[in-house]
Amino acid sequence: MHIPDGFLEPKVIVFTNFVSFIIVLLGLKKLKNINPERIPLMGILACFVFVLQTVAFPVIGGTSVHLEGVVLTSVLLGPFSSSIIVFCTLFLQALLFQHGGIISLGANFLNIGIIGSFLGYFIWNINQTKIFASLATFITTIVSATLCCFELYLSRKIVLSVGLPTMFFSHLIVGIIESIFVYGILSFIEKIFPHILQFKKI
Amino acid sequence: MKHNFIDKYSSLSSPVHKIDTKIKLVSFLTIAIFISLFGVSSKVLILLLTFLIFISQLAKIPILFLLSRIFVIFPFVFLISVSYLINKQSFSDVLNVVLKSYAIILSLLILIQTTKFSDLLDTLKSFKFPKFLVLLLSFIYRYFFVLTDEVEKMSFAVKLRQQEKLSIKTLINLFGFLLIRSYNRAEKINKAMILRGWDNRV
Repeated sequence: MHIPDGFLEPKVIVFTNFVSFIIVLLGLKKLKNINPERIPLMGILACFVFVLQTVAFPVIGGTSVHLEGVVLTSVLLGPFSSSIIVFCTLFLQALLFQHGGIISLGANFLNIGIIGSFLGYFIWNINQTKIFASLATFITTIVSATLCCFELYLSRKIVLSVGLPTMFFSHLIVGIIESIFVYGILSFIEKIFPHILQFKKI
Repeated sequence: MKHNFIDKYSSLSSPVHKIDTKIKLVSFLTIAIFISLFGVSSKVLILLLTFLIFISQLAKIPILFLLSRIFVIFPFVFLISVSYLINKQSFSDVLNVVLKSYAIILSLLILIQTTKFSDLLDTLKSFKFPKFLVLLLSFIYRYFFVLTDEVEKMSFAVKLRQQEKLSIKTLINLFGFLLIRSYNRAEKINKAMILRGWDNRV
C-alpha cells in the first residue's frame, strides 16, 4: 500500500525520510564503480518493474492492488541495486500517477523498497531456490503491510484493532498472488534463458 | 497505441506552462512540506484549493481529470474514518486530512501536467539530484512506452491464438518473456550508447 501525502505526522516523516536518504546514499556509493554494461540493464529492469506495477488486479470494495516486483529485482541484481531501482519506480509512481506521495516517499521506500530488497535478499540467500524467492515475496509483503500500519498508527490516524486485520488480510491475497508470480517468472527464466540469473549481486 | 497518457497536458500552451520549471518545482515543494509538517486548518486549505483550481483552469487542465485523481486516497480515507468512528473523534479531522492530501495531490498534478518531463529531470539535475537516479528515471520514462507496446502486442497475440481472458499462467509467461526481451534490449542499448560516444560514466 502506498501511503499518500498528508496522512503522516512530522516525526514519522522526518524519521522515515532520514532512513531512506541514508540507504539511497549507501546504494549510490556501492554502485559508483560498477561495470558500465550494468547501467542500461538496471535502467531497463527498472522500466520492467514499472510496467509490472501498472498491472492492477481489482479487489472487493472498488480498490485495486498491483504487483511490486521488488524481490524479483533483488534476486536478479542484489539488494543495493534493487533498492535504487525501486526508489526510482516509487518516485515516478508518486510523480505521474499519485500512487504514494512525494513527502511520504521515504515511508513508502522504507516499507516496500528497503524491506523488500534487503529482507527479501536475506531470505532468498538462505537457500538460493525459487521456493525461497517466493517465500521471501510472501513474507516481505506481510512485513511491509504491518510496517505501513504502524506508521499510520504512530501518526494517530488509525487504531490498530481496525488497521492491522484489514491490512493483514488484504495483503495476504496480494502476497499469495505475487509469490505465485515470482515463482512462475523465475521458473520460466530458468527454463528459457538461465544466464539472466547469474549477474553479480550488489 | 496511445503514447501520451501519462503527462498528456504538458504539451499545451498557457501562461502556467511558460513559468520557469525551477519556480514551479520550488513552490510545489514549499506547499507540500509546509502542509505536511505544520498543522494547517481546514479553512486555509479550502482557500489554497480554490487558488490551485484557479491556476489549473488557467493551465487548461480539465477539472474532471483533476477530480478523478482523488480516488487514489480512498482506501486510506476509509481506513481512518472507521478508526475515528471507534475513537469517537470528530468528522472534521477526517475532512482536514482529506483536504491536506488533496491539496498536495493537486499541486503535484499542476506541476507535472504543465511541465515537460525532460525539463523536470534537467531541473532536478541542476538541484544536485544524484545523476545516477536521473539517468535511471530517464531510462524508465523513455522505455516505458516501448515496453507497454510490447505488452500490448503480446497480449493481442495471445488473444488471437486462444481465449479472450488472460489467465494467470499466460500472464506469468508474458512477463517472463518481457523480462528476457528487456534484457536483450539492454544489450542493444549498451552497444548503441558506446557507438554514440558514451564514456562509461554516469
